[in-house]
Amino acid sequence: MFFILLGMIFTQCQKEIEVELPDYEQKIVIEGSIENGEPAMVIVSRSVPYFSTIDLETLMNDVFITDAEVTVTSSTGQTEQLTFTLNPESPIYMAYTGRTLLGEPGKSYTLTVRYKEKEYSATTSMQEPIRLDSTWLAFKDATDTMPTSRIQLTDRASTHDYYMFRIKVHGKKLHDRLWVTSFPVAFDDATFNGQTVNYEILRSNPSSLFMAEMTDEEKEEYYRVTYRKGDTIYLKTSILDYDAFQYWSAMSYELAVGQNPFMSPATIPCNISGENVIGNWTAFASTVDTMYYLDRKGKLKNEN
Amino acid sequence: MLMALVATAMGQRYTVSGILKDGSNGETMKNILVALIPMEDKSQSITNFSNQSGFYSVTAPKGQYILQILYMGYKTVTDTLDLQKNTTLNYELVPEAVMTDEVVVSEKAADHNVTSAQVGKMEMKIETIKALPALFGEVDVLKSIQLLPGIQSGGEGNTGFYVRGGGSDQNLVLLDECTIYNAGHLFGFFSVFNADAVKNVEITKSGMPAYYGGRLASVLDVAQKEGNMKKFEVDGGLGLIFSRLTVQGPIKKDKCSFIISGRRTYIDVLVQPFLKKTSPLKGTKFYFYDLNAKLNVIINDKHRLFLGGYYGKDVYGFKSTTGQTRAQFRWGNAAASLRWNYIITPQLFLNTTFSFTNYDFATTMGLDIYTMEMTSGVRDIALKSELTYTPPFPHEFKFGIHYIFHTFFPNKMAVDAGISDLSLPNVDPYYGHELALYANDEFDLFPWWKINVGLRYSHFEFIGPFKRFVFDDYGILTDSILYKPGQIIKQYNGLEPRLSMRFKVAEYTSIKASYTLNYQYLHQVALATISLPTDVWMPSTEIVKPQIGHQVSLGVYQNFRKNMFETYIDLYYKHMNNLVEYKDGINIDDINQNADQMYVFGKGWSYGAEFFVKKATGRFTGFIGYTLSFTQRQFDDLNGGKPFYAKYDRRHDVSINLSYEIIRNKLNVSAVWVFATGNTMTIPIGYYFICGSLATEYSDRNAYRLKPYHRLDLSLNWTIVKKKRFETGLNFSIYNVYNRKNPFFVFFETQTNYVEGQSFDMTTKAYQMSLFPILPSITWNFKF
Repeated sequence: MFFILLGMIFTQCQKEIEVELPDYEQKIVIEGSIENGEPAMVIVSRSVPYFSTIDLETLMNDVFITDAEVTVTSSTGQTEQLTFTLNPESPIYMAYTGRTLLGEPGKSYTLTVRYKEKEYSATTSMQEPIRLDSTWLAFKDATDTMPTSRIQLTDRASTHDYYMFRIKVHGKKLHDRLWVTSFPVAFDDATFNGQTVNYEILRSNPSSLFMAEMTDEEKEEYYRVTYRKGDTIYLKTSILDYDAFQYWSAMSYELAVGQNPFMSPATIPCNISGENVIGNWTAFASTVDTMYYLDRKGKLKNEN
Repeated sequence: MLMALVATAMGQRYTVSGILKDGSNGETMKNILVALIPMEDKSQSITNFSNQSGFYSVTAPKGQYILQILYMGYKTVTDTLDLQKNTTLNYELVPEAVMTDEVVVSEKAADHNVTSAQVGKMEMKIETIKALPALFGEVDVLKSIQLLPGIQSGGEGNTGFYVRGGGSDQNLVLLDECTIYNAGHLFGFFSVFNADAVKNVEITKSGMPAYYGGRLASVLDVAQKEGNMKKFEVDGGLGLIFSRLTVQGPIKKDKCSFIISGRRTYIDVLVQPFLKKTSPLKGTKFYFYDLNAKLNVIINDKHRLFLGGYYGKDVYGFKSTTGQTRAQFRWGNAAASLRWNYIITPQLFLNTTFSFTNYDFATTMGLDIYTMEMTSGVRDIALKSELTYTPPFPHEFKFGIHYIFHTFFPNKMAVDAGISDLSLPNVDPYYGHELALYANDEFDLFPWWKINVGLRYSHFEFIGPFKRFVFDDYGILTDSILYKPGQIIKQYNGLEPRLSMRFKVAEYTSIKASYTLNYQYLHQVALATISLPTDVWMPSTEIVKPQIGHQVSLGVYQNFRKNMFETYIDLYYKHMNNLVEYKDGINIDDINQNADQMYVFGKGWSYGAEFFVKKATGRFTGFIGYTLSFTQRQFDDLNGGKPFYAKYDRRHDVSINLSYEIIRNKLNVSAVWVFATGNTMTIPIGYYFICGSLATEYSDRNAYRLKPYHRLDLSLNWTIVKKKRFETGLNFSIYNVYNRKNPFFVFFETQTNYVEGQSFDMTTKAYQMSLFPILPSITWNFKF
């Protein structure tokens, strides 16, 4: 923060430099999830050296792995081998998806990825989802036209619950189809176990990959924390297990401050066993609330 | 040895004692050698040094002596003395008509560095400091000290300094015996010490005597001037960054004096009219000021009182033109001390200091209607009493007690967010009692073997009121324990032996060795990779154990050409336990944890060799210092448990300071060149896609090294008028003469080009940010 000030004064003293990186060994990156009522989706890729240039071709050939064998097994013995699909909704996403094995609360799921004679595996358990008491758009005052979203929830007293929120604002662009992690990304019920509480959940941390082609106005729109009239807002509340919570907390920190030159980087936990692997396998027990911002007079429709 | 004691105790011995002062202004003078030379054998002498209050005491068998006080820049005092009873003799030393102190470096006997038992103590005379080139022409005590071997600067923009591989929290910074918790102004570009108000500066980096403690790495002891006892004096300066003014004089001649000294920056005021309305600097507040004051009262021959104070504040604020974004940082030190000197008998000297110090820091950040304020600080109330006993045999004993009541204010947050008011629970301060008892003795076992030995017992109690959160294995809050006010939550104590020895092997050569064990009950954990004024001080708690440091050092000291050249080589090894760092990737704003639950603990070690050559006399003076060192840390929970180089591990550190007097007392040029191996850094080595974004993979901790830091500064001091009643001069300085772009930090930027369904590419580049380019400056100084 100090350095915003200093930076303003000394911006002329910035220059590009060559950084010699130590020898780099690529890692396997596995990002997989299964949601209640949904099939599993797993992305298998490789990490790349920091200063390499990446285009679509290298993405296809060097980054995303399309010929791995990906299997999901449930705690009740069901097994499905996922098939590699190019997701037309999202050209960057080349994922292995399932069809028949759908997530069910109370079960645990084991992911096995076989690639080049190496095996990587992880297990996650799906919690019971929770339904929010209510969600609403919160205005600062009578003249405010750009609200944020708030939620009220009644926590279950019998369990330790780990909450995670994601937000999507409906639109035509590709990035409008992606869930964006909120702020706060995730928290546990340590301070409100069994109680009814309300929180402000802000839209936050959208992917920076889409910025390049945007005009300044579009960028402002894209990074907005508040909503505009006409927005349809989806708010997804997921309950995670402990490992997944640790992972998502750390990952959101990394995505938020990772590039700050003054901060020590976070160590991101990994629940996948195997050699030279990073990533996570998460079971989300989710519910989605929808809010429509029609007009200022509080004609806010709220659907579950 | 016992035999020697008995033998000397049997003859009749008397003490000559008194106070040494500077005749020109009445300031007491410390570290001055007083020698008694027997009339019958002039090859012998019995000597002692004056202490911080100017008090000296020499005990010798009864007889006829020549008393001699030698001090460079002052007329030598030679007196005859018939020692038949305890005698009090106060002296006022008269400065020589030809003033040489702008060139002369040493405020001590010429061979002090070879004769004293202290291994790692270095002094810098304020005149030396003032002649050095400096940033914006403003000399700085702390920056000058960092030129000495073994004392590293953290680089530009870093408040801390680093001694022999220790952390920046392991330095005890004292201003008139008050602890200063953040000695930096303007993010460390200047220190809180106003060179006009400072009398002398000493740093101890090894062989720390028992009367110092509470920190592992060093003690920086800064004494303020006491105020001219003879006449009124005004001195000041006008520079580019700030102006200074000091007023001092007698309230009652030779009885009572005062000094008030102040500084304020005005760059913000000067710059504002020249800024365009749209400039991002419009609306910035950017200043610091400080004020030093001291009152000095001589009650009678036996009693003397000093009342001193310091108050300083830094304010840096920024407001965007629309007023939407606001940020402000404020921090300040306040310190006050009351010191009482009591000469009980010629052999017994009592020094008692009651002191108060407060450091606070606040950040306010605002965006639209959101305002967040974070505050933290430390407050100490302390009492130190020390008795110096110079018995009738050649020993000097010091016994002391030092008590501090600490209050630590950890980060406290307040958030105002319009309707969505986040009310955060109050974070309780941490309270602690720190007590130390010590005994120290310095004596000559043989004329060639001097010993300084001491023992310090330290005790620390972490006390209530306090609320401790209890977590289970999954990090879930299960309980909290409430401690009552005054209740002892945890206590620690330690015995700290200290030993340093000097073996004089030839007239101009000695070997010095030391071993010290230190305990430190305070911790400052740096969140960012550099030391910032935001870094919070914490006491030892039941989770955070006291830091423990062992150090051994061995050095050879040799003077050449009748003390014209001083040289030394010093080797050291240091081991530190219970060092503290933040856990990786913690969220410091988490109010459901105690701050100490976010820490991890480990150890560190450092070793190195320091080389020093100084030419102390003549028109051409200066010194060259070189340090070779290795500093590592090992934490089970960091870097996978593997040892890593510390942030400020510095393989090579060179400083060269040369000064030449072109026209005597008129024109003086000096140059400083520094070179330091680059700091270490953890850098990104790879990246990967995750949840639709790019995530970064990092190298091992501190596996990368920034480019080396080096810089040349030049200055020219021109004394235009130097008369008894009036003195004026100009200082021209050039900072960073060859405009070296030194690394301040390195950052990375990733550029993505993406057109939906068509193309995608991405590259990452590294950039280095530097702070100061070549900066010429001019300062006008005056004195009347």
